Amino acid sequence: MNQEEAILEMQETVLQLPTGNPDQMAKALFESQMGVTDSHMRRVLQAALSRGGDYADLYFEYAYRTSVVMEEGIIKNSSISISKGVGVRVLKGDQTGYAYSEDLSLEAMQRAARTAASIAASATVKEHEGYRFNKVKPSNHYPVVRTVTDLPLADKITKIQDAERAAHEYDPRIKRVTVSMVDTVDIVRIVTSDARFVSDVRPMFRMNVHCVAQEEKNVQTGSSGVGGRVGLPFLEAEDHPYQIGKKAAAEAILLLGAEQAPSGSMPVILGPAQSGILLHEAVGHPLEADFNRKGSSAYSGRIGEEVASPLCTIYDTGMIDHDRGALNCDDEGFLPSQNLLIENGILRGYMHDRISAAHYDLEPTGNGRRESYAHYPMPRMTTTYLANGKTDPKEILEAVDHGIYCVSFSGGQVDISNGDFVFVPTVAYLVENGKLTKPIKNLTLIGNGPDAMSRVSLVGNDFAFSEGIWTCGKDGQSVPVGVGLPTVLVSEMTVGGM
Amino acid sequence: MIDQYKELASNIVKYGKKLGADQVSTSLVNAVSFQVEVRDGKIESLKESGSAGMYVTLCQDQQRSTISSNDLRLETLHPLMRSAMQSLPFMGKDPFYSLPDPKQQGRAEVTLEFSDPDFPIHLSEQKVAMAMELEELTLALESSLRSEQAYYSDLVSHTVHADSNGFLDGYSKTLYSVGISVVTEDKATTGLNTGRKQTDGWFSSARFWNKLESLESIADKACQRTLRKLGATKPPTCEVPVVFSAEMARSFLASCSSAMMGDHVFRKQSFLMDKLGELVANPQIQLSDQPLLSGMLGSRYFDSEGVIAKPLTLIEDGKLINYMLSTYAGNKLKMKSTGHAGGISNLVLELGKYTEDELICSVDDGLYLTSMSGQGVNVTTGDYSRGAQGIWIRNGKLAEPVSEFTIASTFQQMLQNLDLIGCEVDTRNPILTPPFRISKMSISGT
Repeated sequence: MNQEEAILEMQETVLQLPTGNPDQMAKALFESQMGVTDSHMRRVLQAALSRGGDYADLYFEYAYRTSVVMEEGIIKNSSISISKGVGVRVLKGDQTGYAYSEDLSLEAMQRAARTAASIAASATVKEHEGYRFNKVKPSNHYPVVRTVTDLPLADKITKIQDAERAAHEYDPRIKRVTVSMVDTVDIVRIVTSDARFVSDVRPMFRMNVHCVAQEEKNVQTGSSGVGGRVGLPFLEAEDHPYQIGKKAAAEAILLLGAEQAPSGSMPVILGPAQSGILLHEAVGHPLEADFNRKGSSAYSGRIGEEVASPLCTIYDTGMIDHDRGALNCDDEGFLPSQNLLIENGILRGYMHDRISAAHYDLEPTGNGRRESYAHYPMPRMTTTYLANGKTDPKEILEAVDHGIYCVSFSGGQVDISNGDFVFVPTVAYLVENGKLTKPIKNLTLIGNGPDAMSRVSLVGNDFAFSEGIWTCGKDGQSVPVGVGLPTVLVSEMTVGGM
Repeated sequence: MIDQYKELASNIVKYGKKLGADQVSTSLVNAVSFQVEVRDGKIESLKESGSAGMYVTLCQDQQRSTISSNDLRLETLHPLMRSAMQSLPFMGKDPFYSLPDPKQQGRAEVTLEFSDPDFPIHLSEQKVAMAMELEELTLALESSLRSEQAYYSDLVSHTVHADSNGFLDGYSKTLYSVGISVVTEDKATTGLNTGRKQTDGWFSSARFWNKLESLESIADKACQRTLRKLGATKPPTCEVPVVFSAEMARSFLASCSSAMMGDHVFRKQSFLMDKLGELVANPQIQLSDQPLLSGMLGSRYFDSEGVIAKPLTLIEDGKLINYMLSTYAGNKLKMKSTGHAGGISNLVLELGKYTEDELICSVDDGLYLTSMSGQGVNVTTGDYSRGAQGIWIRNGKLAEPVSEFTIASTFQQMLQNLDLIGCEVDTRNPILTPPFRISKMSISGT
């Protein structure tokens, strides 16, 4: 055993996460290590309902995050971050009271609970007799015995170096390479006044390569990433570091030769996988039920109506194994479902949290999510995708005389109320007479949700999920999500070049 | 609070030295906030939070490791620091990493007003009542408006920074915000978008309670801004002058300023790299960073490394004069820190002489830009392509609203074409800019 190994062993004994199934891990952490017993949780729930609230829940979270960054060939930094706390939520009808504590002592938790309780205005309420917790044991969509967090630092560094080397070897014009590897283990326990009791252990891995290519005064960047709710077997199964290193470099080099994108209205082909962010923006956000409950979405009150081409059937689900959007239970303790949003162009449903589901008198759909214990949940997407079609992707390309083809994206945004959305390609090509001709750059695509979706004129048979790299922001809360899509032709869309 | 945190920060620095680190720095932040959202005369949500965070960087022989934790007990922090020390031998040596030059560290010798001694002034009930009143005032202006939410929030934060140079200082800041967003029906006349609505709003935000805009004025702006969007159509694809509202001007300058940050420059991720001393903008542009403006949101005594804050000229008569540098970026570029670890303070575009109406008047056929969306901003190449909404200008007057189009150009061209500068500044954020005109941009619509 050399010195480096000895040091790592010491490190692991200092900060070791508990083992076992999610429930055992959460119990060992919150109960044995932090002293939060069932009796404490009952008393905090009592305090939360002491002013007459209808419902209360506690969201315990412990997040352990490690990251390593390499830049200019040097391992520049490694960091460890710990974040823990409990969020106390009290509901009175549609109204939410919320407070949190980073101190898990009974006294501090009760203080937070009394603050949250004030949403309900009754002077005093007879204290509840005590809660019986019914443990819910969800199926595990991301069982991970060994996480990347368990990987010795020296081995992480080797993987990072592989990615860096792959990028530099791709082309001498690659001048700078930055590689990062981040792994988080998020342990949560949700306890509710209506007796739900669920624990979940959520791994999240992300590796990313960013390259700068330079040819005289022309500088371009490229990036590529992989990840998801995966553990070590994912890293061991394929040579991901090499592949993302090469892909990021290839993107930067391609863009060195890219031409300014055209502008105006034209056909747009969306390549498989990453183009799923079209759905995320155009359809996903406006179908989050809080906007519809408040009547501020362009889709409010339109269930049963035609809102897209009959070729479109769109789902949101947290049940895609190991996907970045997967959830064994949502952040209110509800199980995920296969949630049909649009069926052959007809709007069928919204994505709900507890409040919106109660408002519409429906079952929650497993979409109640929050960034952390410091936030209350709201309806959010998990993995949103368009079901596979029938057309050969080659035929889709051949159907376009003059348009563009999009491969990868940096992101998108939507205005919920009028339905206008943008999404921003990083790699895209001009299509001329059914062929990809030149790579193009500096463009944004803009469309209107229902209008753009009504112009989906061909759907390919090459469905794929995107790599697990997407983070969705809403009201200042970020959550990881997934998207997927086969090749799609939108017959007309505004391409914003120059 | 600050004294207690100073004691903890000193302990952490001492402990880091004891573990064998040759350089240690730490920052501690604590924030307590209150937020209420109301809708239709009822509380939608009420949230109170108190959170803390500690960040420690340990360096030994040019190798570096960091930790962060929201558990501030020494029995958590010390083992975390030990484990960070143990990871140091795996790190590469980075000769450019160092603490600041101690001669550059300290507190600017001015008095900056950024903490309201009377915070939070009001009881929770009064805060709720204020949000309700704002909602009532707004809805009373126009019967077709519905409330999306009205809100009130306040925040007090305490920050302490310490390092093994012996720097140890801290400050408290307060912030109040109040605002509303409203929505109204705007059924599209063609296509499937029969549920179209328009939403907009307004808010005010200041470090002192008495600096907030009146509720009447917020209500009025929220109403006008929403109604002016009704019936928007898609404009033609063309090339025209664009008047940026103060908010859009801020968005543009925020992106520009990141191209002047040292870390973008040494990473070759800035369209302004290798451009010091060159004409990069219209010669009438004067841009500076001004940390010592009393009461402004970005003001500070020192940066996040404890380097004394000083005003810095960035662009003078269109020429790029300085980059904004942290100690690390300075070391990489063989320059000194300019006190910009942690980013800009108050970025100030010198005022011109035109009112917003005069800017609009200067355009025969063009766009008044009120909203942008999307990530189509590339500070490495200078590419700029954004989703947009606004009002079309005909013969010097605001005509019909427009939406679902993009505007595009490059930063390089936009800075050159920024030819008329307004005279009214929006102080709701640290980028202090008036509206301005860019004489030519590509519009992509029908």
